[in-house]
Amino acid sequence: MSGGALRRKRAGPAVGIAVVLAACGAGADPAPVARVGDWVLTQERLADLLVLAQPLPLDSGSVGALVDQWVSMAALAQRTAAGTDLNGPEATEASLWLERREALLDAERRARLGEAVRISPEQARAEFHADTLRLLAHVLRRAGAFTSDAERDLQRRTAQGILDDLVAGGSWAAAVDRSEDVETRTSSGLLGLLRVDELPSRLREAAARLEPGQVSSVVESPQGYHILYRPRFEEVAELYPRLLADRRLEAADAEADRRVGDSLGVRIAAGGAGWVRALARGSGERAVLREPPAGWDGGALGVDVVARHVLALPDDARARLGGASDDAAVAFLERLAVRQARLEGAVRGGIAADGGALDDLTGMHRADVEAWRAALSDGATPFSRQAVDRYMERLVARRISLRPVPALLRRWLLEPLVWGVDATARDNAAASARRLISAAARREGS
Amino acid sequence: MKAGTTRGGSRAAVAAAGLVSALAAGCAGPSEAPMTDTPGEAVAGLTEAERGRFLLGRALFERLATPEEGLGPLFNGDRCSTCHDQPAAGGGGTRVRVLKATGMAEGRCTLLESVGGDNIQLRATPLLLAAGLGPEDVPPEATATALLVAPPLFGLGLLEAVSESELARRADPGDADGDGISGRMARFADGRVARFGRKGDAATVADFVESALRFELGFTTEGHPREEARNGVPVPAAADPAPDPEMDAATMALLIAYVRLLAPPAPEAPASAEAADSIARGGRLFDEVGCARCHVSSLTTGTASESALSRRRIRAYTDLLLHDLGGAVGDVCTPRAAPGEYRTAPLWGLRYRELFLHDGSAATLEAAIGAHRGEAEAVTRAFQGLSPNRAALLLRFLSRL
Repeated sequence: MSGGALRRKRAGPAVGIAVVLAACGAGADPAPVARVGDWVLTQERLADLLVLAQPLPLDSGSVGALVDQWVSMAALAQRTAAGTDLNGPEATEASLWLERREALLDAERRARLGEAVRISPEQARAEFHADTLRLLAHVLRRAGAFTSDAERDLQRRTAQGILDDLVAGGSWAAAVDRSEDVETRTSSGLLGLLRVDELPSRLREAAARLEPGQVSSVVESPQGYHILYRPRFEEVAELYPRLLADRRLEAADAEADRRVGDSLGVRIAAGGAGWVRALARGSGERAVLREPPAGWDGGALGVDVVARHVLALPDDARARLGGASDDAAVAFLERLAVRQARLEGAVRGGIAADGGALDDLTGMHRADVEAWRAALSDGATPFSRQAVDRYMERLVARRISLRPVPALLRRWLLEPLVWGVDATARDNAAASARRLISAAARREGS
Repeated sequence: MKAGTTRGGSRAAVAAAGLVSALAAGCAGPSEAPMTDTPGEAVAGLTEAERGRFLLGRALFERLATPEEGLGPLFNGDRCSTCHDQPAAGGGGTRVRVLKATGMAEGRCTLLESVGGDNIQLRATPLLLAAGLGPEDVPPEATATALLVAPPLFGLGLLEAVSESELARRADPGDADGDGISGRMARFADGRVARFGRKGDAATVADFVESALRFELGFTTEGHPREEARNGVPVPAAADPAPDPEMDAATMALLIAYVRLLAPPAPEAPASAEAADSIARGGRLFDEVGCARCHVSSLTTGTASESALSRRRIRAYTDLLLHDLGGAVGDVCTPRAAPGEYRTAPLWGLRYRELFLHDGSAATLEAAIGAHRGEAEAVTRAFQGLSPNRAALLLRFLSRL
């Protein structure tokens, strides 16, 4: 594996961050892209998957997501085959750690600020028509920078077809069923309650023109082709006040956080900003912090809490944190410290997360587990290497949808396993895939 | 004179070189076509461009088609692998069956073209349904129907590369040798041999793919840019949003490349020397009983555009000829094949099949053999006359293919 660098997960330390292993063996086969236990994802295999996944954009984000999913599913298969109960308390705790904290914080926030942001039906209607915050939904047909002209044209025509159906009296629910935005498809395509200027520039103008009950024409953005919809108040009479309250709660909470932060006198450890940046870049173990990253009178922010939060960040946010200024990194730690102090205060004050919300979270985890198990038992010996191969093929063929493993559960699954991802090998595989596609196109043209 | 000598010498040298090269090629002989233990893989030895085309074609094969792209308005499946997915993409299938209907009048077969054709599309897109029209019906003119299972596509490029002379060598349309088995090459009007499909329905993989696109998925192509009519009546334009042709030649070429380059499945490797011996004995019985007269164990490919397919010895267990299997399995007809006539089905990959015969009507290999009548009557009787142990050996051999 010349030139490659595999990151290996070590069991033991609470944070358990990957370390860099030296490359070995000159002149051997090309370095594997990823390894979990003795299973490897070879460069050739990844290149094949990337071609099979066309029209998947071959950018590093998409390729990385595919590799991450292989790692997650390989770990999930190996742990399940070894008898780990994915619905057991440890796995559930790992899966829902962040969401359960959020549920408790939400309860604390509502206890503290709920009355201040209660919205009456009259206020909701008035706010809806005052038009400062718009509730918007969308349907998206994806097309990225690497999408071929033919594919782009098809996606545009598909979006236009969806719009034609809507104009002809089709339902918004049927339109959303054809959306390729996984995150919003299960919630009627709702983007949320937004000020128009919070939208990306290309959508802004279309959104600004919409009256309640209207759909936009097909709008192109870097994500693809959108159709925006602005629901009528009657359609969202129950939802709108809740979203409005959430939005106000969020604003009030941010302000309250600032006040709490001031009153706590949060102190950030010397070197804390650099340490959290290194953590976000995945090289945190090389940065040593001799004290808790943040502290206040009567409390401190643990390394593990920070590490879990950093790991659970979306990839792009983690990358931004990895390159953040000192001020931004310090602000991140201060915000975590305030949230930790509030959580501890909630526990001391006997506040508990809403039982129904916790049950929902547990149900969500169980549904995920069921789906992963089914996907890794289809057409091959369950939880075998072949089952993971078949899963990946079905995934890139879009026969099944991506159901990502939450970052913290993934970390827990990988803890006892030797694993690693080689970014150079991953990039090489993507380059191979591009070469295969180009070679095929040349042959076609000749 | 000098110049003439030179020219003469030159010609001699060229001729000699050609002879040497022909001899070299002859000495080398065909090599065994590599088979795969992983169904769905490409044949080994492809160039980068060929492999790229195979993979891109597979992506299309697996892709969910939409009406905006060209699906329907009448169709049977919304992606190729809806039907061809057992045990992997490119394989056969039993989940979806294709309904065929044909007519026979005064001894002549009709594919019922004027009332929608022999392929009855059993699904309709939402737009067609919204126009008040549903899937096709079996027309009253039909005299026979059949529900067919999708055949596996493995190794089709190699079968395509088998030369016509190789097939002709095995044909015996008049049963000149008097063994009761004839076997004839079905031909299209343009002279091409119809070597694909259960009843000799297509001459090339390209034809096969194009037919499947048109009749199973409802795509129009550059060669056939008009949308399929519903029982002979054109579908409303509003129900067909994609401009024709719905699939361009370059895209179809990728699908064709994928199907051509699917590797044939390898027989299951015996687990022990004893198992190998019993499988070999089963193979000998397969020959002795007479199965191999049609399911010939070896064919040789000629020259193909891909070197991976050229001059290969293949173990497909077919002669690619039409044989009369008798009325018991007879159903629909084609202009080239009577109701009881079927092209010898390749047996490679048999171990991955769950149901047998063209319509999946045989749940076991024994039942499938028993259904062979007509030309195969004597062979079937010979199989049924084997002692239980010897019959088991033969079946074991087949179940490992």
